Amino acid sequence: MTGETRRHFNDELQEVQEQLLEMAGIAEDMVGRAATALVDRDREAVDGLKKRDAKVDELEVTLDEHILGLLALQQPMASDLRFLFTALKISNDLERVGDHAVNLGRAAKKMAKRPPIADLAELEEMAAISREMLRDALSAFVNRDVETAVKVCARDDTVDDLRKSLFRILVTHMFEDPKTITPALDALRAAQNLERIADLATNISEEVVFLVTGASIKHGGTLPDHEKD
Amino acid sequence: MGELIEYGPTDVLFTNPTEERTEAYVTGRFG
Repeated sequence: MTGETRRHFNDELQEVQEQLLEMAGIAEDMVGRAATALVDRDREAVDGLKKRDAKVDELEVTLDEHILGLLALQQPMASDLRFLFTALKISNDLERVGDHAVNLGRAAKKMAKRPPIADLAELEEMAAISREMLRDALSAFVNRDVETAVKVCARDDTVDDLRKSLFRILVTHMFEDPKTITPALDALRAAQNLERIADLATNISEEVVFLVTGASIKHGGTLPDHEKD
Repeated sequence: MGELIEYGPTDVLFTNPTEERTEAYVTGRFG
């Protein structure tokens, strides 16, 4: 690769990173709005979510085309190849985050129309942790920070446990009073979307680890020895 | 004569080389 070709390729890689960060910013904002709607019972917070989701979808297609073109024309190697491979996967994860934010917003809006069935502290905690996980996963990507990425993965179990706990609480409410069935199902739907957002933040973090180290920590994989300290 | 910088399975050399000079070479930063 000549110096000029390499400079041009660097510019293209920078552009991919910027497109991905634009997508990440919108997806993160969407989760924030949907979580606010849920926690503060603020129906207006979900306004504009669908429009933002359409923008995220559009950016995903643009990124796919851009990355595919670079793979075909530049035949990238080593860290460049890992970056483009990771960007493709993160873009897909962010598109899914956007969809879950829309669904979360819908559930939150329905919940806000009725009186709360109980103080669902687990749901609020899930919303806070999922948002944090997504923010940290994206920050780990920007800073190529393996340590933060690994910490995000470790928090996923907490969100899963909270959802299980919430499920048991909501089932008890539904048994005791059938009038709570509809709002309880909305709360469950909100919890499922939050759990999926946390899962996707975990995926992004696993991809960051691969980007930086070349090692996969998915499905029980471990970090290379020199990254463990 | 040249100098052997790194050897290993082809897929590893082209996706995750250990040596910085290998990385720079396969990504076209020099050579």
